[in-house]
Amino acid sequence: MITLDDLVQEVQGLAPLPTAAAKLVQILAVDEAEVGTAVEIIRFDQALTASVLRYANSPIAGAYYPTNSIKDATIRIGLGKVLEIAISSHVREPMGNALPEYGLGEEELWTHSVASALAAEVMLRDHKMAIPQLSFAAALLHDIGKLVLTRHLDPAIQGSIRRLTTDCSMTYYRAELEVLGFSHADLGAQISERWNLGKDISRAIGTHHEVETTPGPVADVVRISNLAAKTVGSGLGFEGMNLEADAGACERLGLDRSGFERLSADVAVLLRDIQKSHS
Amino acid sequence: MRHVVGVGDMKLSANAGDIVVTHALGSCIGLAIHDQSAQVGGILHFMLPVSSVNPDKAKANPYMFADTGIPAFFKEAFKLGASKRIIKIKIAGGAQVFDDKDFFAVGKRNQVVTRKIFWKNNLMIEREHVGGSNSRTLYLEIGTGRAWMTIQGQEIQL
Repeated sequence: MITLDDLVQEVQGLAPLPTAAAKLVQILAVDEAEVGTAVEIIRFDQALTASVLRYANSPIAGAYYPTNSIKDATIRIGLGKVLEIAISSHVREPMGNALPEYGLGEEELWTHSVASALAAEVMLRDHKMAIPQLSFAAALLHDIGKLVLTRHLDPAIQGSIRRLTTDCSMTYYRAELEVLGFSHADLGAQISERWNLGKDISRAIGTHHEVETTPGPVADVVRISNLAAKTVGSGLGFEGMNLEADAGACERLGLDRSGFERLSADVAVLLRDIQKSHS
Repeated sequence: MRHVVGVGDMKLSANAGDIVVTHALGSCIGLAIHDQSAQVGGILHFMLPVSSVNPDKAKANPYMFADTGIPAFFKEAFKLGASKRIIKIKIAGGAQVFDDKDFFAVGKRNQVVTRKIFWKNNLMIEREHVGGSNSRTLYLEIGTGRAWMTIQGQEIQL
């Protein structure tokens, strides 16, 4: 049987994050993030500069007038979104692959990750909630552990997990923990640490299926984002809606039930707009 | 021809050779209707129970919500010749997360609001497969009215 230690070795072999993303994480970890420093980092990366300008001028970003200034674009969309864009370029391709061991077809994990990040963005921009900028990247990466774990889920392990969910009414996450001794969330936290994304993002990824612990606002945002992304029908696979929901996270973030449903509706519309613009 | 219905959307057909399908029914509900004599049928895939959470979005896309989507869906079906008197109704979906406080009870509320709408309109749901926590895919064959769904790789006739 595989162990978390075995897979940590595999995680150590993953390519490091692009330089710009790694530097942006450090800037965002400081309370008073310096936009000027961030702009210099973005300018140094041509592909990132183009992506940031493209997003800042898109209707999804709520652009009323065009800009070709990277500083204006960064202020418009925020450093958290810039970080998410920088990380996206690194994970886009592998996260677009099918994960049949999780019942996810091509693009399904990626769509779910984008929907989760959109939920965090909508909370901040449209619902005016005070959420940390790091939440976007954490929401985008919350299921990154599935990418590594999927290769090790042989039919016997998959069968054991599914038996526990059907015969013992266990959530998919609890069944994964029971069978393997660790979960995709633990592995995701290891990947986050390998990429030096900081403790807030690592904890948020590592605890996104927990309901007892309260590690902080980034983790709360990720828990709600994951649920909103599931509510719009993304990333269901074998897990479906078979997960524990943390109502406390909504309460701590000041989101009531109709606020959650409004958030889900907003995410559904934005996700459809993004999919249309890429089709 | 196969028509795929996305989340917050619907598809109706009057072509006997068509199949309508909708995937990713988690807490959402897939509503299949069919009139055998008119050979008209289709699927609505709505996401949320009531439009009051965002009336503007409901105006732009009524199919996202049960209370605006179901009446709009039936109206379009009647335009194609379906009759309220003989229409068959089948539903699937409404899965639910584990939540002691019923805070995220979207799946359950989708079921309740759907039943209430049909009850008020003197319509019966002929067959249903709702609840639980697994995702479903719903199919409808226009020529025969046969509706079926898949759940965890298993096919079930509705």
